[in-house]
Amino acid sequence: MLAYNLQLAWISLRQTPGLTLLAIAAIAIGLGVLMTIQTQSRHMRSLPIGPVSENIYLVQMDNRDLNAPSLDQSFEMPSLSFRDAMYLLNTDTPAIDATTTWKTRGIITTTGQEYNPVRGIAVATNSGFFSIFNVPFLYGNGWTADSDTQGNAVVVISNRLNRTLFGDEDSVGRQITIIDKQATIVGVLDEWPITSQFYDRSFFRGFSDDIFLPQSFAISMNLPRYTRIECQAADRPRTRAYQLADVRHVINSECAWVNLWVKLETEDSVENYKSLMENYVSEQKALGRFPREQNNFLDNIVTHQNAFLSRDARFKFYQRLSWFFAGVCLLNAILILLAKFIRKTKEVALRRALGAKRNVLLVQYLIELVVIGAIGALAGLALSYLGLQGMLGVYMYGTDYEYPLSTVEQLYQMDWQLIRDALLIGILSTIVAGLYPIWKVCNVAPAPLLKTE
Amino acid sequence: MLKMAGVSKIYRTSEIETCALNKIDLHIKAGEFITVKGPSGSGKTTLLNVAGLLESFEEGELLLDGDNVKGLNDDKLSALRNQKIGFIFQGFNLLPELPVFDNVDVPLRYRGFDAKERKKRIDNALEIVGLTSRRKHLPMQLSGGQQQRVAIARALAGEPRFLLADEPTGNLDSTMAKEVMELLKKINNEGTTIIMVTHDDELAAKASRSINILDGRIVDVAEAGKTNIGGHKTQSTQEADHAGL
Repeated sequence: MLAYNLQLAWISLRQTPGLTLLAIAAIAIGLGVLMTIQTQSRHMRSLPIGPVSENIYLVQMDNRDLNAPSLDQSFEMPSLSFRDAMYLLNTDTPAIDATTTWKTRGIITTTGQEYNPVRGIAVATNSGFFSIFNVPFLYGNGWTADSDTQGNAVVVISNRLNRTLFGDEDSVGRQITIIDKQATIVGVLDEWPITSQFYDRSFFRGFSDDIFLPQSFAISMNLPRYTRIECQAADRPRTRAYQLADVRHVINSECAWVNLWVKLETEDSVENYKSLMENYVSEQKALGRFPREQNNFLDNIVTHQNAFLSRDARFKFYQRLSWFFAGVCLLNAILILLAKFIRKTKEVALRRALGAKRNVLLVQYLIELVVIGAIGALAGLALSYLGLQGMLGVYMYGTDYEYPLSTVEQLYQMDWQLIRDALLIGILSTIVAGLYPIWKVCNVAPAPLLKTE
Repeated sequence: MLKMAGVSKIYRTSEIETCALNKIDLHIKAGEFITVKGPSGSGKTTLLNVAGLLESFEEGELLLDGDNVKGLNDDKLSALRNQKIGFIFQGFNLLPELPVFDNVDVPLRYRGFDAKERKKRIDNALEIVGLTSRRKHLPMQLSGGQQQRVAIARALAGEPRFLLADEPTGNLDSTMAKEVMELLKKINNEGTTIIMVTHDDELAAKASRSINILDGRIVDVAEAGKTNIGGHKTQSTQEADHAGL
C-alpha cells in the first residue's frame, strides 16, 4: 500500500503543479532562512574549543569601588589586576594549570625581506596557554616556562601570518621584529578551529590572533595594553595612560585588565579554587584592598559565551526573525495546501464510496504531505546552502579577505545534523501545515459530492 | 437481501427540516432489477444513498443480508460498501488522472487483494464491459458510454451483492444509453441485483420491479407483468409488458 500511496502522491503532485510548487516554495523559503540562521547560531553556540571549554574557568574577584553598582553576573565583572592575577597564577596550592592573557599590538617586520610592515594583534600570555587550550601547531611548539620567567624574546605566530611573511615555509628559528625588538619564532600554529575568540572575552567569531608572546617579554618591551582596563574612581583618569605609558604604572595599580584562566577538571577542584579565591580576598581585605564585600566568580568558558550570546541583541533578533519568517511561510503553506486538498473533496468522496476507510485516506494524503515536505526540505537545504555561501561571501568581502577562507568557512558549513534537522522540520512542519486541510477533506459527506458533475 | 423497515431521512438546517425519506418499507430480493422513479427532489437519490450506506438515517431499520447496519461506525460501513455494494453514477465519477485499469483497481485496493487477484478481477470486469483493449487509456480518451462502462467494470470487479446506479444513462445519448442498459441487463441476468434511479419510463420498464417515489414516500410499486400495488397497471409496467419483460 505504501508504494501505491507514493504513486498516488506523485500523480497528485503532477496534477496540481502550480499549487504543489507554491507549497514547496513556501516550505523551502521558510526552511532555507531558518536553517541559514540556525546554522550560524549553532556554530556560535558551539563550544569554543570543544569539550575542554567546560573545564576552563575565568577567575574574577570584585575589586571595584565601594559605591560601584552591584553585579551578579560574571559577564559584567572586570578581569583581574596584574598583581592578583600573578599571585593566583604562581600559587602552588592547589597545583593547577593556569594562564593569563591580555592583548597588545605592534608593527611587525622581518629582516632581509621585502615585505611591507604588518600591524599585528598579539596576545601576551605564558607557556601554559598552548597546553590548556589544546592549541595545535603546524611547526615547532610553544615556548618553555623558562622563557616566561626570563622574558625571552620568543613568539608563536599564526599560520596566516606565517603565510604572509614566509609563504608556507617552516619559519621556526627565524626572526621577526615587533616594533623595534627582534624575537625568534618558536612555533607556528596550525588552523585552530575555535568558534569564537573566547580567551580575551570578546567572543569575536572564529579566529585566533596572529602573534603570541610571553607576557614577561611584552612587559619588558612596554608593549601597549590593547585591552580593556577598568580602574577604581581614583585611577580612572589615568586609564588611557595605563594603556600606553610605562607599563610599570598599571602593573602596580588596582586596575583590572588581565584575564586569568584556570583548568579545573573536577567539582572538588572547582570548590577548592573558590576557597583559595575567598582566602586570598580575605587576606587582601585585611591589607586594605578589595573595599567591597566578597563577590567572586569562577565560571567556565561556556557560561561566559552563553551570557555573551544572551546579550547579543543582533543574535537574538536574527534568531527570532528566522522563526517568525518560517512561521509566516508555514502559514502560507497551510493556505496553499488547503486550496490543494479542497480540490480533492470529490476524489475523497468517491474513494470513500468505493470503500476507503477514513484513516486509509488520511494515511494516503499524509504520505503526499511527507513527499511535499521532503522535497520542500531538500529545496530548503539548497537555499540554506546558497544563503550560507552568500553570507560567507559578504563576510569575506566585509573583512577585505583578511582571514583565510579555510578558517572562516567552518562557520558557514552545513553538517549532517543540520540536514537531519532540516528534513525533520520540513516534513513535520508540512504535516502540521497539511493536517487540518486533509482532516477537513477526509471528513466531508461523500453523498452530495457524487451526485454533481 | 436488502430490507428497509420504516426508514426515514431528515435533512436539517438551522431554519427548516426536510423529510427526504418518510417511513420507507422496501424489501429487495437477490437477483432483482429494481428501478426507482420520481420527480426531482422526490427522494430517489437519497433512497439510493441510504441503501448504499453513504448516508445515515434517523428512523427505522436497514438490514443488509440480514444484518442491521444502523449504528455501525464509519469503518464498518466503508468495509460493507467495499465488499457488498457497487456504485454507478450519472457523472461516471472516474479518477481522471488514472488509466482505466487503475480506476477499476481502486475498490480492490481497499479490499486488500493481492496483485494477482486484482489483475484477474480487473481483466474479467473489463472483458464483461468490452474494454479490455482500453485498459491503458485515460478516461478523457474515452467516449461517455465507454467511461460509464469503465465505471460499471469498477463496480463489478469487487463482485458485489448489488449494484446501485444513479441515473447511469443520464449523461449519455440514446445509443450509448441503450448499450449501457443492455450491459446492466446482462449483468442482472447473471445474478447481480441492481437498483437503478432513472427518470426514463422506457428504461424503468425494463426492470423487474419499478418503484415510484414522491415526497419521500413510495407511492407505487409495479412488477413486470403484474398490476401495481394500488390495483392499476403503471405506464412503465404496460411498456414493460410490450417489451416482453
